[in-house]
Amino acid sequence: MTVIIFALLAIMAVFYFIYVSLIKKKNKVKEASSGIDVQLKKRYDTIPNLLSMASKYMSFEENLLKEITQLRTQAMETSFLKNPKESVKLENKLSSKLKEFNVSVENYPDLKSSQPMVQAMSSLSDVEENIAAARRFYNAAVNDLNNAVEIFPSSLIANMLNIKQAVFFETPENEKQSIQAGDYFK
Amino acid sequence: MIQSDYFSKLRADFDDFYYKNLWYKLVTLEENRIKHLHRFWLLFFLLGIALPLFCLWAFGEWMYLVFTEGSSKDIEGLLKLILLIGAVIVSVIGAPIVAYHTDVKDSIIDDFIGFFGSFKHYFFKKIDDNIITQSQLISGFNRHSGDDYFCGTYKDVRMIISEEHLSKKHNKGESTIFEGIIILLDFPKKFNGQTVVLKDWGHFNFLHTTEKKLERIKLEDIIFEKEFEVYGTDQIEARYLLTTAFMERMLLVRNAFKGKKIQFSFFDSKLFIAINTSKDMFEPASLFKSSTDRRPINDVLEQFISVFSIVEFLKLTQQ
Repeated sequence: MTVIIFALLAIMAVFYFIYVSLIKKKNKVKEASSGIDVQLKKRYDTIPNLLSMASKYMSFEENLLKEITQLRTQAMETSFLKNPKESVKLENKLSSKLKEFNVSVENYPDLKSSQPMVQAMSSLSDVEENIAAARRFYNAAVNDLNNAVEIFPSSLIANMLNIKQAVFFETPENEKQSIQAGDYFK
Repeated sequence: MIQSDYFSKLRADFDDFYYKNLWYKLVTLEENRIKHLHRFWLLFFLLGIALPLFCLWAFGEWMYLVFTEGSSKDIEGLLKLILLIGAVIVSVIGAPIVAYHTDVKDSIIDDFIGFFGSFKHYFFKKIDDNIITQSQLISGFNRHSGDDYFCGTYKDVRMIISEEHLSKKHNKGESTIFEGIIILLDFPKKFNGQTVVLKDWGHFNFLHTTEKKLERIKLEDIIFEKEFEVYGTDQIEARYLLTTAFMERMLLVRNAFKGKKIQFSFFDSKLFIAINTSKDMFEPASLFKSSTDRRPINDVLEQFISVFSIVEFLKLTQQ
């Protein structure tokens, strides 16, 4: 009888520890998601300043500036915490447009060298680095959670508690490809 | 020896620099060295005879106490006296060595480090205790002394290089907690929290203790994770500082200091690096070798190169 009681207690203890660990991992993903939202908010705050400076010089890039404004508005309406898939899609589009914007700025030496623009570009690049850091934290948290959800015995408890795998924050394919310097000299 | 094209060129350039700026100063120190050397040998022989005689007397005294009075009560006091007199004798014999080293440093060290950047050398200055405690890399010390302290800029990076000895005095004596170099430099990124990069102790990592409650930060670089354990106040900020490229560069630094314990702490927009060397650094002369002997000079050159290689490897000048 004692053996059975001890065995039951041991099983309950194991169950409890797995449960605690799963909840911690799930909360870590939530924490990381809000971290991404905080960093994205910083990006949204930087963009208007950047665009208002650029609009004076880049009248020929009106379409690009409009697209960035629209994407920013759409992205601001979506929260990464609530809808990660949609948010990632919009953020990747916005990132790609901001890269286009960076390249276009190169064609306007006066704009590129103006002090406020240099500062704005520098804060944007800082924000981008923070977003990358937040994304790494989020992906690490997701990886931990997904492993626990997939691997036995925690997979059983995850199933019972309806804890599901989370989505990774994937970078667009064109950003993953390494730069081939040769392509630029063809 | 740190291998890189940049440092190979620097070593080659140093030869010219040595003959233009240091050599003639060292030549003038030769006479001084011989004077100190004579003093050293004189003290060595005089005290070298006195020391064994003193030991014999002390031994006789101890035997007397044990056999006549049958008590070992005063032995502790006697041992303390022997240690004290021994320490005095050693410091008296060593005085000419210290005096010569000070003379050499006084005349060439500012020029020497001037080869790398704009620095000022101070004797026995040390980094503030609060900064060391704040770094969370070294704790539990109640004695702190500094030896060589350099403050200035290397390629526009403001930094302090300080040779420090931190220890703890307790009832049974004194134990060294840290002996080596501390480098404190301006970090080109702004941040508010703290990130600490400690040496990985494998299964004993649970023994890592930090004053502030810091969270474990698991990074994706497997090789980096094998070498270091990272703790911090903010998961995102730690990754903002330790980008994948920066982690690779930190591994280069780790490899350059193989065999020595190197740890990093990021706080107050500064990078604090502690390297355990357990030896006296930045000594460009030896009393027993000619003042123009290149070996001690080359040793110091390599020591400076290892310090500045950190700035180069981490690319702190390019950010």
